Amino acid sequence: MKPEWAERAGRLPPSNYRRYLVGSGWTLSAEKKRSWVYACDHPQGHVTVEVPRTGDYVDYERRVVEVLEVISLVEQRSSASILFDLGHPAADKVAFGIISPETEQGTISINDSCRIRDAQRRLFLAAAHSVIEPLVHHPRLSRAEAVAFVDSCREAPAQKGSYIAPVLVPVTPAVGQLPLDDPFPRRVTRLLAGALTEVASAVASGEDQRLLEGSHKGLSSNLLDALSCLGPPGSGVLDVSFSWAPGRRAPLGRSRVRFDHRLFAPMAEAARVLKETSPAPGTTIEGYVASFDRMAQDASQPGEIALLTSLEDRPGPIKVYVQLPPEIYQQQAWEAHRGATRVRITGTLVKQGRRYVLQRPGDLVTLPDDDGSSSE
Amino acid sequence: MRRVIIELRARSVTPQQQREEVCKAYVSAVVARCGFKLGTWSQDDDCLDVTVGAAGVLGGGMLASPKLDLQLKASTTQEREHPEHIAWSLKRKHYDSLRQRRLTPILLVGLMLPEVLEDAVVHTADELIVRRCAYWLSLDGMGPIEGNVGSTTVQLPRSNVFSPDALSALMAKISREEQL
Repeated sequence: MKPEWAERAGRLPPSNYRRYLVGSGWTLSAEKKRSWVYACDHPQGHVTVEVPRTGDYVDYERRVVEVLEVISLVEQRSSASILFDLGHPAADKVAFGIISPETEQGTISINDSCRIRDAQRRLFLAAAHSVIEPLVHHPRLSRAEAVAFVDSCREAPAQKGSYIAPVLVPVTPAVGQLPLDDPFPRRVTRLLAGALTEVASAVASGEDQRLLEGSHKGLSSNLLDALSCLGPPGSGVLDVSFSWAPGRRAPLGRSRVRFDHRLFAPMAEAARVLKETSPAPGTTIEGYVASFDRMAQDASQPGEIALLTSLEDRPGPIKVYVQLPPEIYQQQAWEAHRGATRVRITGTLVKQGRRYVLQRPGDLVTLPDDDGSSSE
Repeated sequence: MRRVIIELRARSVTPQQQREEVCKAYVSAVVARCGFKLGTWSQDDDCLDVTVGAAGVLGGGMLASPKLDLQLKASTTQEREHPEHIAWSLKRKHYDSLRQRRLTPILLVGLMLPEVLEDAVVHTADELIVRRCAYWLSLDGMGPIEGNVGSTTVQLPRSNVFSPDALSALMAKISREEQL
């Protein structure tokens, strides 16, 4: 019988159906006077669908409903879900399903909702940064292209079935068959799909070490940290599914990754390890010169100072060690220490054992006192 | 006991719905005899829309080409019958949906039933009989209803018997993309 979504299906033009089919790997097998016939190979046999050439046919709605029902059987997902994707032909859809006893009714607490949205945002931001430059840790998620990408993503209405929060990533349709790389947003969703698959495989098999070795696949501390915040409330499963914009060939077919609630702890720990052990270039430290490794007697030798400071995400004061050239060590550092003056220095922050070290330091700058006078 | 059964039936379906069910059974039997499948699209406003097609490879009631849509109607009004045709009145909405441009051809199928509906279906241990006959008509290419009237009458030729042979021939024509 005519499904309740038939009218919506009938309002979509033939081009939406054609793009979806081509993007999902169907091939044009015949061009008839009034229709296009698309085919795909399925374990049960050769499957075809017939897309009307125009929406003017009086039976257009009936015919596209038939198309949708066949796609639904091929893809093993609901026609309504496919219809949603058809209605957004220029977007990849990443749906985050929180499947837990607490979300059975399709609702979620406001606090969990806020946590999930923030984690989604950071997940996309981390993936976008890894597309630009694959690093084990991105000290600042502020690259303009990545930030603009996240700005362009849209949140879609929550879908039925536990709590499913879809995010739409705009992807421009392909024009022609030129062998060019995908646009940036598609590269981000592609990387994200691959990274999540890698994480799921690593944690499910107990090979947590792989989480520390996958920066080339997008496994950064930032991505793992964001992913670890997407766990279901209590027990349950996080189900992430990717539907690819029909306007471009799907990179991996349809992807779905599942994470049991017990698998989130290793992700958080891997994120912490990666962050603490990865160099953070361009880190600016502000603090007080706390100690020297030797007296300032030999002006020809470099020396190491310890700066008492605080670091983002690290509670309490912390010492950062900096190797300074002789003249800076001999004069500026000692003067700042004697005068109890705040200093600022920029370099690459790394963790060596239990120590934080600032490598390749720039100039040491003394900062104005609170009363406004400067000793620089 | 007979009275109780009649009352139960009266509560469950109207005579119109009962005629439609008999019509669906008639068409289902013909379709099955030809080795095709039948899918129901809608059932409202005095007509039943179904689709005849080959069985799809995925199962699940899917239909594959060739396909033929049918708009089914049934009647016990004997005055419709004429020597050469069956006269059938159609509302403007149904007439237009049958004549307008479409991807899959559609036929009007009218089943003439005995005057007394209870006589339409006879069952014995040897056979199940649906009495009388259905006829078909393609309205493809017909013009619009002229004037501000809400309905028109079409003629289903007596030669267009909706039989297994006729349906097989029609489906063969559709697969060759010929006009019905």
